[in-house]
Amino acid sequence: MVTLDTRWLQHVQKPARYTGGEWNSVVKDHSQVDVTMAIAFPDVYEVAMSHLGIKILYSLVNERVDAAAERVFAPWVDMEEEMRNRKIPLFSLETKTPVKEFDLLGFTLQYELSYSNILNMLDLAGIPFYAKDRDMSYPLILAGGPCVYNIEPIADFFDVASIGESEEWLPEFIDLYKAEKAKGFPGGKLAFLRKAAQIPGTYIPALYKDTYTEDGDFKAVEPLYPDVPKTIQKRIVEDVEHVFYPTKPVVPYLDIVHDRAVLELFRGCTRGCRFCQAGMLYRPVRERTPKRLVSIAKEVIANTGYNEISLMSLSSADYSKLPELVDLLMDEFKDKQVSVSLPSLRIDSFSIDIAKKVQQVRKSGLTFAPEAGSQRLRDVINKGVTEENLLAACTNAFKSGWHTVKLYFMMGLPTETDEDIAGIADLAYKVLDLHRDITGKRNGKVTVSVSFFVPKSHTPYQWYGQQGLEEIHRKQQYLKSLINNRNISYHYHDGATGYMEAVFARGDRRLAPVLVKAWEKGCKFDGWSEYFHLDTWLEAFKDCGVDPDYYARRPRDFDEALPWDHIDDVVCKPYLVREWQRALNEELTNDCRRLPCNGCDVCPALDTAIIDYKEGGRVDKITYGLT
Amino acid sequence: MTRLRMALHKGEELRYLSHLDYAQAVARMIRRSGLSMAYSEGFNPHMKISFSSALALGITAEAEYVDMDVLADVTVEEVKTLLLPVAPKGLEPLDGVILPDKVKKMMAICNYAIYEVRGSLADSIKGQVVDWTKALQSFNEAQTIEYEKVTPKKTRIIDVKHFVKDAIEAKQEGDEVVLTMGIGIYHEGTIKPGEVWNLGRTQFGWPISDGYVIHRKAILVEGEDGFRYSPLDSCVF
Ligand code: SF4
Repeated sequence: MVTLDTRWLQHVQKPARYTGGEWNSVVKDHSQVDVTMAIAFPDVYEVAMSHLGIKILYSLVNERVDAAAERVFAPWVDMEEEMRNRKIPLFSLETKTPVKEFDLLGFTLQYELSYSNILNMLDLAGIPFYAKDRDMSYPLILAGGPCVYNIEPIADFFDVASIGESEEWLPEFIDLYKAEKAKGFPGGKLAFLRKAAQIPGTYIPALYKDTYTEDGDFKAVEPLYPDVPKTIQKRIVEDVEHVFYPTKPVVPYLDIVHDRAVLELFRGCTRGCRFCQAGMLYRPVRERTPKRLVSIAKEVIANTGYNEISLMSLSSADYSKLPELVDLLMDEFKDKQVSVSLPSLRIDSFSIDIAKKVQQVRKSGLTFAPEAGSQRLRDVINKGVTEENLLAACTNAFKSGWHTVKLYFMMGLPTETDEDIAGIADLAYKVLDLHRDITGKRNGKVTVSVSFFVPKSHTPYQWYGQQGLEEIHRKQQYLKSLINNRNISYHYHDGATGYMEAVFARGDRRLAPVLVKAWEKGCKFDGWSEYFHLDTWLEAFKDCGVDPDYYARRPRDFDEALPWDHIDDVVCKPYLVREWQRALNEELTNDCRRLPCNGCDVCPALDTAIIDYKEGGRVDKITYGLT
Repeated sequence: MTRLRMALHKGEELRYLSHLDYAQAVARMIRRSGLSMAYSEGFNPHMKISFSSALALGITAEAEYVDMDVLADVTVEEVKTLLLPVAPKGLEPLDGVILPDKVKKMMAICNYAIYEVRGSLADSIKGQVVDWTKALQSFNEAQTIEYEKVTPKKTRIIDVKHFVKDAIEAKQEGDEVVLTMGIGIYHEGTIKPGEVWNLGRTQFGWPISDGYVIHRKAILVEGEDGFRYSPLDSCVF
């Protein structure tokens, strides 16, 4: 056990990040359980604690009497320095046990820019980076979360990856681990991993070999053993209604990023925005009933003391029973000072009506994401939203007392021209004028936030070569020159982080040494702009003789092998190809939730269906996969 | 409605909570208990609770006091019984009183705190038993002690003895010592226990090292009669 002396700990920033003891945290005696697991998030406490997946897995494992789960997050730089000086290894929050002493260490991979923090945490824990250098005396290092769909750049560091939703996978894995541990792991690590590979949804990088063509292009990732599956199909929870829900989440003492109760309305999204990886990975849409949601909400509020409940999903306003749910929640909590919030609004008047109901008008600004400035480009990305939709939503909002609107856009989208960029400024001015016309006042505020588009695996844009940084910088300045109004504020990121993200999002195993090199040169907390240093990264690439543009900027061929081809999110490739072509033709693809199937293959491949309560639950319609 | 003043612990588990973090933890505990509370009006309603002090991050306290408006008729025992099962370790309810309708704000009347500051002996005298009466004598007997108080906003000279009127006492435990100091919290300001520790070490030759751990033994109301009362004592309402 690690001891932390107040005499120095009180001088680091926010020491409560490292001391645990929060309400609903679970402390178990390790000698009384069969399996111990450290659940890791490669970012600082306030970010990590806001993540729903961590809450689910933490509670899920701790429900078992035979297992203990504890949390471990990335120490902030000042704490890291103290730990290194004092030779304190990375430790868990609950029992201050060195991470190295756990059976399992599971990382959730939410964004590529957290990869350097994974290495930093392993180093702090005294655990060798490469899986091949670790025997069973070290914890098995697990990975889950969206980035596992292309885990290749960091595959060599992990022992096991869980592909897809983990709620059913993890208990199966722990059962196997427990049984094999009791037998003393006959055959050692390799034998155990081969057994684990038989659990559906398990990817064991060490059981596969990556090969390349003579020209140095990626060729394949292939199994080394006959009993290991060639492709790994994602797992989903079909019955989201009855699946475990964490109704006793840890209540942090510190103000975290999302400090409220979270109600997950449904999983998946079938709107089919072509840039959106989550929309492809989490199909199909599966809703919970309002009845179940209200009962979860009551329990969470009673168990935490939170005074706000956030309705969370990929596109919460698409929940088919939203008005009914909101009425039920407002009724349930009306005397309890619990407010309801809707983090993502759809661009329509209906959403504003709901927002009016749940949010105190003026409490906060409204946020919309048109994503692109022109109708043409919005059609290219299949964002089925028109200028009329946006203006109608804003009209409703301004009439209802809002004065501030935030608009999110992306820059660097396929087929984008300067006209599309000018469209962003245009829209901002139109919204501002609308505010003046409706209210007769000049106190309207429009915030324009523009991010740099990163093409992701498993999307129709996975073949697209990212635009160059200079080009993005030029467009950023061009847009800046078009916005000259003190009531419109314009925010954008440098873009360099988006470039590195693009490299790792579609990289292969040859990037592992580059990451190690970058870490050696001091890269960490790359998601925090003050710690991100593009020059250092470029040096690391140069030292390793790897060209980052090859991964980020090179357009790929449809028939080219892709490093993530063996990780199957079950959206079939012909569907993605067709979506790419439809994008170029500026053709829209319908939301398959209530309209006919578009042939992405998820439903038939998983023998499942969309669950939508407006349609009475499980939607029985003909579904298929394009060939 | 019932107005109550409750004494709550701020234990080791909560040491690193700032005053705002602590207030939030208390509010959430009360919400979990199911007690129906009075809230402020407005867009962002706040639970009507107020504290005896703004306890800093890094300091534990034997007791911190909170005034609360409960909408029902309740007894102190009932409130304690409701809070206990939903109190995190280190935030246990200890005691309480029912308040009359009108009371002075606690922050305005709590003007005296007793701290125990613990730290190691200076390296040079480790293993020895120190004559603390002698070591503390010049500080304790001084009429005035000028001290340059540095805050982010300004730097000014204060008289330490205006705030630290009673003699500081020491209790050595092996190579550690606990200094008990009473500090006045006045309109014109106060001095932090850590500042007194460092002042003694650097200017009065106290044989101590620079790291310390602070525990607040009590927060009190010093009456005009010169006596000190607990915030739960009815004569302070
Ligand atoms: S298989 Fe058809 S219905 Fe199912 S998610 Fe894909 S497109 Fe939609």
